[in-house]
Amino acid sequence: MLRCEGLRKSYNGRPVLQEIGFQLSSGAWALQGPNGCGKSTLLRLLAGAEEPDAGDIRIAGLGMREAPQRARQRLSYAPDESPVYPFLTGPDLLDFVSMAKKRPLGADVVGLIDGFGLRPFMGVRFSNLSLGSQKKLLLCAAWIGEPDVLLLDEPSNGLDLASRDLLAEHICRCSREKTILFVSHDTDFVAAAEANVLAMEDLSLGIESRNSN
Amino acid sequence: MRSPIPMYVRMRLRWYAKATGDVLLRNWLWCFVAGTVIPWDITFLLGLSALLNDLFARDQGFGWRIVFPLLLQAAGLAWAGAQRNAIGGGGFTPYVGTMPLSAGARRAVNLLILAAADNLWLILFVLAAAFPPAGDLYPGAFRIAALLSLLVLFLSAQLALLERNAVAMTAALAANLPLALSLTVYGGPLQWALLFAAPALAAAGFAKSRLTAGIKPTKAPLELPTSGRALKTPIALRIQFKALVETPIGSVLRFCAALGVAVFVDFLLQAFDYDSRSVTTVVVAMAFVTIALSGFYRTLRMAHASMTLYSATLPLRAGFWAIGDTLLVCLLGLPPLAILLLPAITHEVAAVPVLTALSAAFLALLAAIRLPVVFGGRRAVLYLVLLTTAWSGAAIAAVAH
Repeated sequence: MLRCEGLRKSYNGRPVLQEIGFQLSSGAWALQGPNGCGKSTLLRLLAGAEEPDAGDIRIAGLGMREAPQRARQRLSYAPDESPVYPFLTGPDLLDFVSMAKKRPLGADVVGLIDGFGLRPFMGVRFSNLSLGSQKKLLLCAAWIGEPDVLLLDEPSNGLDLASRDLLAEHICRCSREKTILFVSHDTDFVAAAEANVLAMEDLSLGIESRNSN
Repeated sequence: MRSPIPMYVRMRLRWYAKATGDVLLRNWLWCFVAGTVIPWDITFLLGLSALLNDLFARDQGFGWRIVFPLLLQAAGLAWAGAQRNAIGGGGFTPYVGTMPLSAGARRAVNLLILAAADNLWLILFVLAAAFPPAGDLYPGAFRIAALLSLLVLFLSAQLALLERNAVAMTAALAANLPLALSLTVYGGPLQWALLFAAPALAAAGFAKSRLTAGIKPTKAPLELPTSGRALKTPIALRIQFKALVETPIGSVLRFCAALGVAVFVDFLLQAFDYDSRSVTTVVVAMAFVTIALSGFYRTLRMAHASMTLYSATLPLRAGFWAIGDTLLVCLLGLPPLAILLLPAITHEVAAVPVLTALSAAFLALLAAIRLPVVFGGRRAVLYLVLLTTAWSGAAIAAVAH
């Protein structure tokens, strides 16, 4: 479902990613590596938030260059930080993503909102929410539109224990049908999500088909 | 141990310079453009400073002496309010609020940055003090002291706004009363006592308040439970309006300026008795309305910038915000357009097809100015003026034929 080949990215002449290539089928995948090795950059490239200097990315068979809108329809991204308008409220963000994906909020998203205990904070603007609540809202937004590929950057950061367990269980359940690639060093969370660990250095070895089974 | 205050002041000044760099450049470009129309030099500045001395004019009554400082404070509030985040020190200020710096020290730093931001105002005060009006009613020392009092009230109101201190704001506004009385009671110790009471009252407004978290860099918490009505508004439009509401003073000033130009031109048309000059005047007014509204593009662009990374991952159509913002600015241009058109149609200053074509051209200009404003970089103002000037010329030529 997620495939990339020959990905390269550098900032101000400093190479961050070089010749990254891999292919992931459905399953939960935990990307790990030392700080500053380019994990978040890789997720941003895969999500289309940034353009790679070179390389090809395919989401469910759709090329990010050839069919950018259709490819984005099939993926979701939850960044580690909250690059969201500070004046948005939770419903605003969810409405915006629903509008962009042309899909209503599904029962699973509503279930996540309730499970995360977000209801009392839905009227609060983003800049006044705690980091954990911001994270939860971005995670809820990631499940809108039933994406085939989910890219989550440090999804368990800032979450309380109950929410972390709920998220791990949700990832585990959804990974039977979806490809969920997330960056995390939280070994308990990775284990609870039953995720396969991917080391950053392995990804530069070229295309390698990986299956969860 | 070295005092951290000088370093804090340097950091705050650097932040102010960084945060307002583009604004300053834009304002100087506006001055440059205005300078090609109005010959302004030291005489112009002296003219502005003479307005301050109007407070001491012989033929003014008590009413004017209380309204004038209030108007001055209102202008100062608009000036400081528009750059509140830059003067306030941004996100670093709440962090500094956790450090063991006294409230007085932090307030002194705030005042220093405020003074730097008010540099043009301070020049006017100095010029007003240096050049007394002809036939001065008051002794020189009293006039200087009165100007200083006026400056204290001016700064107090701004500081109260920046600190969101309602008590201090009330005191700064109420202090106009003893100042006005001191200018009405001629001679004697009572006049001096009232004069000193004004800044003392303004300062007293800050005495009881504690400056705990410093100036808030962002807007006050706005808890908006989603009501049924809000949900019916398209989300893109809701986001755009919220972005404009984030900068309330700038947005209101821009829209009021556009409406003000339209209303003023309506009066001009009346004065011209709707003769042949009217159409040309309407065209020029449309150009000015366009310039007044152009800032909305910048506000919206800056708001979208905070979400560029996330929006890029969503399946939005190409130019989603470009189209949406253009439509919104055109929508905001409709009320001033209506104010301009109604008398023009009623008094038949031009044929209806001509006015219709002119309206369409006005909306096209409103859409076109997005390009210089958004992509013009540091020369945005020049490109904007060139575009509107070229449009005005073309429109006047077209209407003349």
